[in-house]
Order: sequence, then C-alpha cells, then structure tokens
Amino acid sequence: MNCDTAFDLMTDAAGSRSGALAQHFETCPRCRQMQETLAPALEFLTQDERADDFSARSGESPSSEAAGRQPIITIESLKIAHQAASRLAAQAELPRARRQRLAGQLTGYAAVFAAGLLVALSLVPERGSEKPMPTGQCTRQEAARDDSLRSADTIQALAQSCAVCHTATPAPVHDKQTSFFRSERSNTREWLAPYFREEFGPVDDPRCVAGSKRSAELTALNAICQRVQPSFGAKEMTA
Amino acid sequence: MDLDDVQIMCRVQAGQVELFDVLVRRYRGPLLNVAWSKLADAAWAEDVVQETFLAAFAARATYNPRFAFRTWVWTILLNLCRRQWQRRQVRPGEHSLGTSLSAELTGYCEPVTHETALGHILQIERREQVHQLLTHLPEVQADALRLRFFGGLQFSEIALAMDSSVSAAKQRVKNGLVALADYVRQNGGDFP
Repeated sequence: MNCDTAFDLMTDAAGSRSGALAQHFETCPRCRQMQETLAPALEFLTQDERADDFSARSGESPSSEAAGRQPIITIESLKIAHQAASRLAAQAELPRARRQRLAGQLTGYAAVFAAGLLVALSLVPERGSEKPMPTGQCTRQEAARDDSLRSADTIQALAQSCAVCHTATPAPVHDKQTSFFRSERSNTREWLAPYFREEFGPVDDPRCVAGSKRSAELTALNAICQRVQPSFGAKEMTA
Repeated sequence: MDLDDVQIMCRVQAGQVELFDVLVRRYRGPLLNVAWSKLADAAWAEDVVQETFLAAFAARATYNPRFAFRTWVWTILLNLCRRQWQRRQVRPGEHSLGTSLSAELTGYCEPVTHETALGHILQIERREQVHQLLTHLPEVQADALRLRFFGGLQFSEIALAMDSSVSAAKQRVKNGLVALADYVRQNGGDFP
C-alpha cells in the first residue's frame, strides 16, 4: 500500500478501520503523523455515522413538509443539467486526447534527442586525425609478435619510434573534454615516460622502425624527449 | 434483475421512464445528506434533491454513457445548492437550522421515547456543529469534505463533480481536514 491509498482509506469510514491501513501506519511515520493530525476532524466527521444519516432518519419518503409541496423544475435547473452533461462528456473524451497529445510530445522529444545526439557526435574529435600514422610501417604489432626483439634497447627504440607518431601532435586538453568517449590513456606521455629514462640510450639501433633514423624524425623525437619530461634527461639522439 | 446506472439510463432514454425511480431510490439518501449539510435546512435540502432528480430526468436525452450518472447528479446538486445558498443569503433568516429541524422532528415516524428524543436532539446538535464548522472553511474545501464524508464519493468522482483534478480534490479534502482539526483542537469541542 502506498501513501496515496492510505489517505483514501483514512478518509473512508470503513477503510479507516482496515488492518492494511494499520499495517501501513507501522511502517510509514509520515502517514501515522498525518493520521494523528487529522484525527479530531476525522472523528468529528465520521462519528456515529449511521445515526446521523439523513435518509435513515427521514425514511424513503419525503418529509411531511416536503410532501405537501408540488415538485418543481425551473429552466435554470434544466440548464444546469444540460451544462453538466456537456462538461462531463467533454471530460470523458479528455483521456484519449491526452494520450494523443502525450504521444506527440514523446515523438517531439525523441526527435530533439536524436538531433542533439547527432550534433554531439559531430563535435567529437576524430582520433585518427589527431594521431597521424607515420609514412613508414608501424612496428608495434610486429615487435609484439617477435620475442627476439624484446631487449631493453629494442623496447626503448620501439617506444620512441611510437612516440614520433603518437605524441608529435598531442591533442589539446579541451578537445578531449568535449568528447563523449574519453580514452583511458588520454595522456600519451605517461605511458611513454619510462622509456625516456636516462638508462636507455639514444635511438641508434638499426633494427628500429623503418625510417626512424632519418634526421627529421630524430629531431622531432629529441624535441619530444624534452617536451615529455625534461627531468628524465633523455640524451640527445644522433643520426 | 439488478441493473447498473448506465443500463437504467439507456432504458429510460428508450422510454422506460419508470426505471428512473430506481436511480432516485439509489441516490436520494447521500444527496440529501450533502444538501442538508450544505444548506443547513432539511426542507430546502429535500427541495434541492427533488429538483436535481427532476432536472436529470428532464435532461435525460443529454445523458451520455461515457460519464457516470452519479457524477452527473452530484454536479447538478452542487450547482443547485450553490444557487439555493445564494438565494438564502439574499433572504437571510427565512430558515434557521433549529426551527427547520424541529419541524422535521414532527414528521418523524418512530415512537418518541426519552431515549430516541434525546438521541435526536444530540444528532441535531451535532449536525449543527458540523455545519457551523464547515462554514469556517473555504467553500471548495467544505464541499469536498461533504462529498467525501456525507456523499461517500471517490476522489475521482469528487474531481468530476467539482470540475477539478483528482489531486486537487484530495488536496482540498486534506486541507479542509487539517483546518477542521485545528479548529476542533483550539476550541476543545466547544463550538459556536
């Protein structure tokens, strides 16, 4: 039973004595307090209800005073009856009209939501455009497959070569915030940081990614080393 | 055969006008209770209830099974009571609760013993108290309470009869009860 039903029972002479209502009072302090507040009025309006029934007292027939009068009907009362019938008939139609209006509103809301979603998706920056792939072949997948390449130097070379592509044009922070689909690895530098520690040497391994020894890329890579974490003190890389 | 209101009204519309008497017997008591509470005059209450049924019968062609007959007669009654009350305001003192109820007692058919006479005096007194208390409330709250407690209407029916929403009908009953309870507490059962 909810509080709404409890109020219905509370204001009903028979319902106010029901066990279900008493049970509800045990679990609902708000309704219990309401009942205590209204008790004087409820008691006053419902006490000795049957004895107070006018019809029981006067019987089924009109009183002697009323019986002596002729039944009357006025134009005004007839008009009241007509108006009441019209209004009630109109209100009986309301639920159907309300359902139709509600369906229309829901359709409108759905259209607005879909349009908003499309606009939001169009504002999400494309990941591919922020991190252009190098002209050469990416060795990440290949290195993962070949266990023989997993020496410290190789890993460093691999990571630094990845950095050429993936941090050369870091995405602005505010662009990321507009995206609905934020990457867990939003800061690319963090996961690259260990590979720029001092114990790793410069990229001079011939097994490094194809084309990474080109001077332009190495210059870019050195610039990245400085930008990612200057305290790491990454060594100058030479061709 | 126990016909419901819609079936009876459809037959009345079709020409079996004598069936309308069933509806009169069905609703006369609750209508009288509310009318008497609102007008504080038994004779006027009977007049209004009689006029309500006559109006409903005369306008039977406008009845539509899409709405409930009882809601219709309650709506008519409330409007006629309001009209009657306005007339009474124009001509105050024509009727008073005490005198009309004393007259009413003379038409009572049970044998009058000390017990029943005392009981009726108490009833009249209490009826007068209820009437006095309800006059302290705004009319819409008092009407909502009358329909709920004396007419036995559901909140949805009160809403239709008073042309309001169901939640508004509940709120009116609730506010009326709160105000009435405050008044009873403050006066400790002593009413004007």
